[in-house]
Amino acid sequence: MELFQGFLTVFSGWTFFAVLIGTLFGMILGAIPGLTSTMALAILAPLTFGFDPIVAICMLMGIYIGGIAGGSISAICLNIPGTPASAATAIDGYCLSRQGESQKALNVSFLASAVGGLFSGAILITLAPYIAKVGLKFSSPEYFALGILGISIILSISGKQLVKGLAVALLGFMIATIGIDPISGFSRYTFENSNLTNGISYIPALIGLFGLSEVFSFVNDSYQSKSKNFKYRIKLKSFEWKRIMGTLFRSSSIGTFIGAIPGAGADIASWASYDVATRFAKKDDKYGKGELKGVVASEAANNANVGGALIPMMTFGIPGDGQTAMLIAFLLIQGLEPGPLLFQNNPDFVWAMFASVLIANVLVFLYGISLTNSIVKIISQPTKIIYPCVIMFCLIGSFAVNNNIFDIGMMCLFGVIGFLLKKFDYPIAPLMLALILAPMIESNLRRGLVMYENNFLMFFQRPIFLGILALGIILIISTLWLRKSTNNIG
Amino acid sequence: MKYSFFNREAVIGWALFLLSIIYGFLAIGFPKGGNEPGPSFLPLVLSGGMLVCSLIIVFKHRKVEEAKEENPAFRIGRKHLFLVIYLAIYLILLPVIGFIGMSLIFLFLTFRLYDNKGIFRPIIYSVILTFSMYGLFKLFLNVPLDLM
Repeated sequence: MELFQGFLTVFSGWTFFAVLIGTLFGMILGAIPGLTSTMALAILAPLTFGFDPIVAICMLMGIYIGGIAGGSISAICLNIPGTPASAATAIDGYCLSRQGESQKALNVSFLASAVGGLFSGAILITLAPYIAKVGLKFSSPEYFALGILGISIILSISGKQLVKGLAVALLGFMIATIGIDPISGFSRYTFENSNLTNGISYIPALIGLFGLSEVFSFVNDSYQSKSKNFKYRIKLKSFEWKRIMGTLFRSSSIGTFIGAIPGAGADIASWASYDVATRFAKKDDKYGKGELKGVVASEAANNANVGGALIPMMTFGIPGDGQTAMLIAFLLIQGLEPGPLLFQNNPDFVWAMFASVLIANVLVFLYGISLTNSIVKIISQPTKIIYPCVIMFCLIGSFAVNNNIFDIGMMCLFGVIGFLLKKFDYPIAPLMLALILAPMIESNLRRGLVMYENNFLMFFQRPIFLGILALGIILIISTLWLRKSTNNIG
Repeated sequence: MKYSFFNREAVIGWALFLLSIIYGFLAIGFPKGGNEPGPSFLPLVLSGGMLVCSLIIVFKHRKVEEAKEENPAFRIGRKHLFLVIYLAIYLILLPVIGFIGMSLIFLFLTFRLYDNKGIFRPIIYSVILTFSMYGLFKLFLNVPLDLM
């Protein structure tokens, strides 16, 4: 019933139009090599600031889902994965393309993306309200533990660069302490600059880290991809449908499960799913030489990852990856705090968002089978034209948050920091996670200590607190194991 | 194998070390809390953590490795410097010249920086992009670009 209400909200007014536009823009930007779905969210989120929060979040969901699915277009047609999550798609997708079956590979990839996304969306809609109800029983110590659980993600996303990842996370925490202290109201590190009183704005920082830093990376290296025309349509034969069905649902389940693990991300989901698919290979399967099931495995998993990643984000406010961190930053700007209270206080918002997840996945398929030719033409534009446009979006986007030129300066500073971090092989994601999680960790730790008269050991007498810590340890081990096994495949 | 505490990677470690000292030093001046740790608690913990991390980075990278082939995208060159200068000029002159005038100049220079040869093409691209952005953000989305 609530979902039905969510659909009614989406189909009223401008909301459906916003999902239509968001998904299309997401697919185009996701298809452009070098522009990830995180970057698409970073540069397009400012377009939504003036919108009603429901219209805005539905558009952002379209960008997020379209961005992940769009990566397969360049992976299949150009052998350049538009997003890291589509790297596994390129293996079989491009082989099929060279064999003259690019249209079939694209159709299958969009079908897999849509089914994977719908599957994970259904899981999200079923489970999230129950998990959120559990979240209502949480108090400050539990929220502190959730913050620590979020920080444990840094261990997994830092890969081999653990110390560098920790250093970057600490840098993020340091930046997050700028501004008024959340408990005492004391100004820290503001140097009497009124622009710093409320701390560093998330959105300009994220636009700089993910948008401008990418532009810096390509200033020496512009290129133009060769475009192809797809004038013919190919339908899947019934035996091909039967062949891909098993892989489709298995990969959707894998993608949803991995997505729900904070820190794992869509790239791990697609590689893990591809690995499992090759283990289930039959005699006549041609993995690595143009196998449709290879495309299905990767694409179903990376889009199914979206619904999975939204579970910890919506229920506890934990960003599992770059895209969900961006969505949390956006929600905070709109005055909405993701977590169990969002389900209680803003059910219209939550259910419209869930409905938009399902709609965007259907649109991915419809756009995919009808607009591939046009999207390939757009992504074949030289980067020397695309990147100055991205800079303009970054500049205006960071201004639009607070209508303040100071934010543009901050965005540029974070752009340079992001570029330098990448140059010296430091991961960027821990900085972003620390920026988002620091206020949650600090304020809840200190509130919890006030509750227990400065005795931290009392936290350990709370069973949910201990349960979350145990979950954190399990997550660290499982994600490190997943990353190790997917690195072996990749 | 040569050892040095001042190679490129180790220098970043030293920079982080210095940052942690300054950050921690400023935190000492913050008030202490009563029945909770107070505003200085987290900064002091972070400062200590960064101190340890920076020293690990310095020691880990003290070996001077033979020059590795660097990703050309991350090689800092003249163009990076120019882009930073253009952005700085944009920020400084924006309140003086205004959004349209400053964006036209900035975009012309940026299109040239991204290897768009000649004069006319960069001019046409800059004009189209500036006015499309103005139309989209100012007229459609009501972002007060006049304040820029």
